[in-house]
Amino acid sequence: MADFTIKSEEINSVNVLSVGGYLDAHTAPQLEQAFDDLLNKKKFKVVVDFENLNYISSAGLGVFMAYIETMRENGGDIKFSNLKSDVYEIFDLLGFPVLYEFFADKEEAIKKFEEQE
Amino acid sequence: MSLFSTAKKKFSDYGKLPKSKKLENVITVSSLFFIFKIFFPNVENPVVGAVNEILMFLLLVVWIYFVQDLVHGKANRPMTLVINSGVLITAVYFLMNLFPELFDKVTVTKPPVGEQLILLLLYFGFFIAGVSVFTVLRELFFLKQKKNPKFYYDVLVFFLTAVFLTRLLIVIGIPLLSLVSALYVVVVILFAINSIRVAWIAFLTKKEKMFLLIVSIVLSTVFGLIYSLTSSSTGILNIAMNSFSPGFHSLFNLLMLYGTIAYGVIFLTTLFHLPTAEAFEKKAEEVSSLTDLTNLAANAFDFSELAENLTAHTLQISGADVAWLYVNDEQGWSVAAAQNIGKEEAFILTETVLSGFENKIPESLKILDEKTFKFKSGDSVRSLKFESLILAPLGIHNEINGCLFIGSFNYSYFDEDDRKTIKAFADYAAVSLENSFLIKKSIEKERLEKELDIARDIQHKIIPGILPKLDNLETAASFIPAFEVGGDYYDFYNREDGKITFIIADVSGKGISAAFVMAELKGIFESLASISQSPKEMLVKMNSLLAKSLTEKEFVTATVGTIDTAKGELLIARAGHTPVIIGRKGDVMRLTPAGIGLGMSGNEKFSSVLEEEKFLLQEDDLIFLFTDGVTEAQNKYDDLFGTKRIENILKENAGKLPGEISEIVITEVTLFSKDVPQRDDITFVIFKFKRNNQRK
Repeated sequence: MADFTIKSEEINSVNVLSVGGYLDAHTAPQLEQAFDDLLNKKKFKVVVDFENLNYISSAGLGVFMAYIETMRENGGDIKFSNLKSDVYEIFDLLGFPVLYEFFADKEEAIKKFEEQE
Repeated sequence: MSLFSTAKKKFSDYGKLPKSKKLENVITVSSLFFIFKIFFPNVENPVVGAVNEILMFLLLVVWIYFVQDLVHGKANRPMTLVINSGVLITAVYFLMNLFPELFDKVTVTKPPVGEQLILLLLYFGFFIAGVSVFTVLRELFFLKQKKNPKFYYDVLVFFLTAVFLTRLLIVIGIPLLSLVSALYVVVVILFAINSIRVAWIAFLTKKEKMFLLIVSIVLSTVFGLIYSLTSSSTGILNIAMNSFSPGFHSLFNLLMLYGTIAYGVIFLTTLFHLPTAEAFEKKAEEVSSLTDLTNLAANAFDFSELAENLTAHTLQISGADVAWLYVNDEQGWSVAAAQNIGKEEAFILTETVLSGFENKIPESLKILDEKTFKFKSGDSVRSLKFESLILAPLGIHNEINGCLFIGSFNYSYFDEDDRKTIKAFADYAAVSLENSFLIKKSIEKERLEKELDIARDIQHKIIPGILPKLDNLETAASFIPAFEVGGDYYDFYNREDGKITFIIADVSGKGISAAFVMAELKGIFESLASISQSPKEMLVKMNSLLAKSLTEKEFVTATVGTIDTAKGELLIARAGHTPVIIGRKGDVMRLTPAGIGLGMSGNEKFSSVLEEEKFLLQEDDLIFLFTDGVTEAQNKYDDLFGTKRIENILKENAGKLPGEISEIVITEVTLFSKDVPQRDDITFVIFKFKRNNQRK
């Protein structure tokens, strides 16, 4: 099975999680761990960069739903950037764009956070 | 020699008789001898003497075999045997000294009947004691012997029998006194040889050895004293015993000599064994500790219990002061067991010790001498000075998953043997740790499989087995469940107004939790469909009802629709689900009205976004409903089956019936993903609108 990769970095007080590979029920716990780490550090502004992500399953989608409320309650958010068209299609079908903000690249998403301040 | 071997065979046959039969013989022969003795107390007459000796021989045989059976069960407790025969022989010695005037009378005249009876009973007492002592010596002789020493023993018995028979011949009047002396010499040599077989002493504990040392010297002396009483040519007992039975007298004398020699040898051997007793005991303890642990491992599911035992045993064997086991289980590194030190303290101490090894457990056993470790314990800083601290890594398959620590504060020296033992314990701990993980894993796997069985069962009961039969509508449906149970669901409801309501849904997640949500969904669908609501109304209600049972990260995608077969009208609403594909005369289109998945947002948002789409059906229109299990079926190059492939099938097979198209879709998906295991349920429903297809 294809692997999942995740990288966390902080750019201008916004945390960027760059995900890659396959995000499904088996790899979702890694993403959960990354979100938990951010919560422990009281970091609530998150951009998830999908540049290298090839596939997302319903379990992967569920992870974002699980953390979005906490982030928003603490004045933060989860924003998405750089989605490949077929991955975006999955988010789109589910109605995510109504609930979350999507950006063409992570810089734009970070800029949006800065504007909101 | 053939006579000897026939005799041997006869005796060994007798030995196999049941105990009750032997007891019977003992009673018969003893009574016979007793009665005979009352009439003929002395053996002056050769005929009386011969009969006396033959009866005595029989008496010896039956008694020896009988007592042997009694003693044999206690062979594993040599100390009990020694003490029992010691008590007997001491009693004999006292009796001999208590009634000297009684024995005196034997030599003078025929004593009164009363005294004669007492005398006879005394003799009998000596006899039984003699037989017991002989049997005990025999048991000790065979104890803990690796090579079978039976030959030496048989030779001894042969010569003892020879002594007895020679005495018998003397009684009848054949002068063979010199032969008796010669036989005596041979027998004494055999005694000496046989007395050396005392390997069992090595296996006694130190305490038992100390005890045996005292008992054996006392016994050797008592045997010697009795021998001097019964063998001195001027002694009264010598003459008195001779009158009882000359043969038995000789054997008794020899036996006393045997006792003196044997217990003398036991005394000396024990004396020499004493200095090594402790070391031997320690070794034996190590062996039995390992055996105990092995037994424990076979039964212990619980590693912590095993760890507790392991550290306790290690401490006991090594004579150290503290021991603890630091292991990596699924929850990370921890102290599984600690002796004479708190677990938390041991954990901090471990980190302190390992900081001297680049925070890694060394790959081989390490001994640290005279080291002081300072570490935080609660709020204060503690310091522990070890004379010696051993680190024994737990390695298996080149992976180190723990370390056994043994420390001593004053015992400054661990020798090579201690190292080896501790290493053996550590290796042993590594294997048990591995085993307990494997057991845990297999239990977990079994539990998951059971759970999946239940989930599959629920799913099969929820998915309808029968397709709706309606005018103007051909229907086909397919459901191929994945091993892990994907949570796909479809259903139909025939409404009273002649319309049909359908649902296709996919519950996020897998297994039993998905199956429960499906079950709930079915309940909601059936109750809502029965009150004939529109697809949008139904989905909005579903969203609010499901919100209570879905966790934050769970959601359900669903498409609900109604088909008015009379008017040819399709009405759908989509909550985050895959599009509905319409096939029309070799063309396709997707219906994707806006909508968010169920359980993803509050009702206000959900309802404001959700659209309802009406679509007018034409003759031979195909309606294709599916879950992402179809489009996300993968091939070995990680390509997805995709919506395009479905659309192509619908285009190319526009003229076919739903059942035929269903077969084609299944074949295509199966061929596409033939080398890849199915990850999700593959579910789809196909309707074909046939206005003029009247069923009835």
